[in-house]
Amino acid sequence: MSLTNFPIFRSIIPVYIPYIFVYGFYIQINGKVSPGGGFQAGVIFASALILINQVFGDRRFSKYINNISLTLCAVSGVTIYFLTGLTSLIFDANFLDYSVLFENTKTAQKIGIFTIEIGVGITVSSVMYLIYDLFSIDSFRHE
Amino acid sequence: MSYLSEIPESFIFDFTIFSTFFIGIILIFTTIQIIRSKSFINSLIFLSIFSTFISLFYLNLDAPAVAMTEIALGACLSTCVLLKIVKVIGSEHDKSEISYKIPASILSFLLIITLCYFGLDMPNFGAEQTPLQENISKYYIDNTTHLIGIPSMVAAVLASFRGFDTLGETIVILIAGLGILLIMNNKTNSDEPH
Repeated sequence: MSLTNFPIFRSIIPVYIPYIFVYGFYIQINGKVSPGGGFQAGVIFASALILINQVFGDRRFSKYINNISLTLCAVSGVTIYFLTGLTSLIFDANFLDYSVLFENTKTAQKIGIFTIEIGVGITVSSVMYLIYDLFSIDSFRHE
Repeated sequence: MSYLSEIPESFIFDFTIFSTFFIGIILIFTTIQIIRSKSFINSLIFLSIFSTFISLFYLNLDAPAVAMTEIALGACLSTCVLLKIVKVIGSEHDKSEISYKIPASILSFLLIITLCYFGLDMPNFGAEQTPLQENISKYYIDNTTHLIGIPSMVAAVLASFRGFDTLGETIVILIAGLGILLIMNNKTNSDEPH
């Protein structure tokens, strides 16, 4: 017995899901001017994915979002972060010092912060959904 | 500092004190319900309510980012994960014979007394001239505008001043996910003998 069996949820939840995604995008992009940032946006994205999973079940999802793709996304988020640090190291500055990424120092800081927030968001959302996905009944049917 | 001393202090913190008191009472009753409830699903629902109200508490302390994280992680995500686990292990409590009620109550009471005693030595909430406000936060407040140029000071500290810490936090989250993947994943090696 899950949410999949109720037709009311199946017709109402698709109305909500785009708004949750837009709110996640808003928090991800506006992390510099308002509360929020990569961690919060990632968690909100993962919540929307979990909602889809709970209402529509695993089958529609698992072709694209499985353990391998989620792990790749998580690792690529950390890689984006790390490469941003390495880029400033190439331009003869300290590790993760963004002020050399552009001519104007403040614009360079904004670009650096935006990039690493995207990396954090990708990592957090994929890891949160991965944790949710792994605690399914199938995982406990080992013995 | 001067304009704060003209307004009576009770006027400034009246609503904050009232709502903190109200939320605190709700939190205490919710905690008692978490312990007393007979099934795991009841406990989970009260845990979710607890997270919702403690996020209001964080909002009261001017920490909207923490409140957002708490309500997304505590009230939504961890409740979903725990509900999945409850689906597997069943909703009934394991009623053990041994009861630790009396020693646990004594320990909790002693903890309350200790916390109240040492809490009297703490500075007031938002007080100036404390070590918390004097040293490093002053540097961030002075330099965020002309070094980073973004309005949100939290994002500046998190991503630029302390970017190396945040890299470590992200790697910690990645390692947590990979660890759970290694423990719980049995789809690839399910044909191994046990």
